[in-house]
Amino acid sequence: MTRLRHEGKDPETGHDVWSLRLVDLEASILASLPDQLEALLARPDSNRRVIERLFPKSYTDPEEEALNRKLLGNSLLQERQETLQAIREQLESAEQKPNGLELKLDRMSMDLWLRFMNDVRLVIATDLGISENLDEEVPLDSEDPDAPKFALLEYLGGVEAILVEALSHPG
Amino acid sequence: MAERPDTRTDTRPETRNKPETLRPWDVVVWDDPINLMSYVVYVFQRLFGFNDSVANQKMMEVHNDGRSIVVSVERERAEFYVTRLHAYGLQATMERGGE
Repeated sequence: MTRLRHEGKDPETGHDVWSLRLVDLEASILASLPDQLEALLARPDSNRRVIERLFPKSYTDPEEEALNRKLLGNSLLQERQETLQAIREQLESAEQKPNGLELKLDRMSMDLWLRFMNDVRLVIATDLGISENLDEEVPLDSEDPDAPKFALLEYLGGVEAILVEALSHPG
Repeated sequence: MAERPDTRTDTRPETRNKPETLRPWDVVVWDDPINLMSYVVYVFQRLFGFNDSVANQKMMEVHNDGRSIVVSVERERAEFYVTRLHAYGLQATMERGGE
């Protein structure tokens, strides 16, 4: 199971540092997600609903929105790709422990993890067509073909909650 | 802030008489069934510097009312905030304030 521990302050920067323990199964699932998300971002025409959820409109007026999109260019897509790359690098540089990985995280890297995991949750939920209360849509039948997706949604939500709680109350 | 004696006969809100460029834009966050409530509070605190109480109040407005105006600022600032909210996966739009 995911374990997050506050390790104190970095002696050089004075910033809070946490260690995040992932067992092998968690680490391998999480490590597979950046490539999946990147592949999806690379094919916007095949994933229209998900793309619209990740890059929603700023303006309701179509002309204003078109101008806004033009000004933004690819910057939002690039930012997400950079986040995915940062997550890959953190997983690759994590310390190998007997049953999994241990990552050292500061506030900035926790923030990246939160955005990454939240994006994955949004993608899965959009794919599943969840538009109302998530809890009421979880299938009770473990044989349901969507059960693994709901399980991943729930798992990522649990880790998100742990990270948010730690950032709100370090130590 | 001290107010000048009101000599206007027009009782419409002040913002209606302001030049277009001075009217603030409302940054609106919309309810979403996926984003965790605690995550939304975190994002509000991080982007807007809200304290616990204000961030929770805004989050509950989004949750209960379906939307909340989180800040009203000049246009470029509003565009910046909406873009940042999108980067965090929140549903946000901007609209002219004072309507």
